[in-house]
Amino acid sequence: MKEIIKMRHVRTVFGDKTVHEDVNLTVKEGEIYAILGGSGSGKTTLLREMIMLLRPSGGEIEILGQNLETISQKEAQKLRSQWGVLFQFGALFTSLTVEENVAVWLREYTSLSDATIRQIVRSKLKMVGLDPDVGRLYPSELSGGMVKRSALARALVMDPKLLFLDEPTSGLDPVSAEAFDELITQLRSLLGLTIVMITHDIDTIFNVVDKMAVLGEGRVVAEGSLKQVLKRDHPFIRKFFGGNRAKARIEAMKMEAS
Amino acid sequence: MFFMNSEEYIDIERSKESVTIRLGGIWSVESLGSIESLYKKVLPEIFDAKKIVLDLKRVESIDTSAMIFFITMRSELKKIADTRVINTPKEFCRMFRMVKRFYTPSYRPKSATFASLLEPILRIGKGAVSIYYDIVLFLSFIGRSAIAVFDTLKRPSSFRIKETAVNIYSTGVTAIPIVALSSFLVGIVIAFQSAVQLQKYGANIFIVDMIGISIPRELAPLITAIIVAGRSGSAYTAQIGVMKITEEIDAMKTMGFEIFRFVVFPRIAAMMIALPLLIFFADIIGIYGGLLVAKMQLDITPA
Repeated sequence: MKEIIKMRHVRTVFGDKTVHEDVNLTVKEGEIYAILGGSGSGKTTLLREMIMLLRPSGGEIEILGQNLETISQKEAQKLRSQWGVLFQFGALFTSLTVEENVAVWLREYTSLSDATIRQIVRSKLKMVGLDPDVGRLYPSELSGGMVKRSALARALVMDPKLLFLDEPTSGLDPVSAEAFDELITQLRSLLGLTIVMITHDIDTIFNVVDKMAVLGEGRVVAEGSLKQVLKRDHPFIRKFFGGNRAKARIEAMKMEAS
Repeated sequence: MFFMNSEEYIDIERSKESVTIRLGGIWSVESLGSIESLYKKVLPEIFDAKKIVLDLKRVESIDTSAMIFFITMRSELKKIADTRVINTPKEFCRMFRMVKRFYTPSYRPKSATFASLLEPILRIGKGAVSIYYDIVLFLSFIGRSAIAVFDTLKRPSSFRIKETAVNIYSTGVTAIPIVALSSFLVGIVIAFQSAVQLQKYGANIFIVDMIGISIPRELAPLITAIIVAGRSGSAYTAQIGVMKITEEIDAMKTMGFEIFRFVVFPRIAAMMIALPLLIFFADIIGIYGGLLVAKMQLDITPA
């Protein structure tokens, strides 16, 4: 399988605080890849470096075959149209309706007619599980789950190959969170997406994620499938998967295996 | 994608009884713009067709947006004549089945009616009502601020000194450079313009009164007030706006803190202290500017 994201010896330093010492990870095509780690371990920083919002202090990042260090302005622009980003709080443009939010990329970069744009936008809203009539509302009139779904529709409007999610289920109730997880797996199999996400949600990790990287002390302390990660002995992994909810899930997993 | 001849996307071939539309190339959201305009050009030519055949043999790939367009196009063609799809590639079929599940026919935008002619009048009415509410809100703001002042006067120990000091610094001290620059320039301009006129009448000495009266009485307070209103007013708006979004204001309310005493009054008090001092400073700089011109232009020395 093709390697979509490669990070090699990435170092990040803010002032005299070192966030990443030496981060190495690889995301392959079609994977749902999670980045885990305690608070302050630099998960969001890592994600921001992948989507070119932040430059690492050292090391190399390669995304879809482009080295972010040496990328030209034009290539960067092209790269940006190949990925979608879902921010933690949706980051919908407050002055635009949901429909306009989703349409904004199409209006800016294509010469499509209004009717076709409206058609595409309404279908995409339906795709993420929203009633297309929600499109007329403003972001301030939406519930948390609807904001996330609208933002996902906006991230998916240009048919990206790669999707970045920053805590996709945080702030959602368990039912909506589960529905959102299901939506993500569905979209992956439908559109052949590669998904990189930051998450703390035990359920998401057990149900959705194929591979994960655990950040700690400025490096990746474990990378691989859930089983592989659980084998590693590290204080964060022990603590994170030591809670009651996670324990029950691990028990269930073992039962299933035997 | 972009160097491809756009004719390749849609190509029509007529025979006696049917029209064959050949689709080809990469159907993606990037190429959809040219596909759409091509389709609009082709549409009148096939308006009288009895049978339409859509040949998809040469379609290399298609994404969801293009598929949504394809489905709309197909249903439009079906209205014209009997439409058949042939040579569907496997990948195309898979995408079609998937998109079909969430495809939503578009609603028709409402056409212009009598109601839409009244739109401008409606807007004027709405504007008037919102102005009325703005005035009511402004009056209530003044009232509540006044209550906060009286409350603080009743219990002076509740005055937020630290908050006020911070605001004096941000609205007063940091405004010094810009206030200095503008009042200095105004001083120079006023002195220079009047010097030219006064010289004609040999009334050089009156430049002293000119500067000495107009700067401290009129110009320095005006300039300073405009700068502070623009500069600190927008800063306050931004600060309080952020506090509102991060729910700080709501947190204060739920803890029983009167926001006019905590947020509004310290800022007003800071302005009341900082503004006169800034004006005094602007007076000095403005007069100094005038003094320089008087010395250079009219040879009037201060001592």
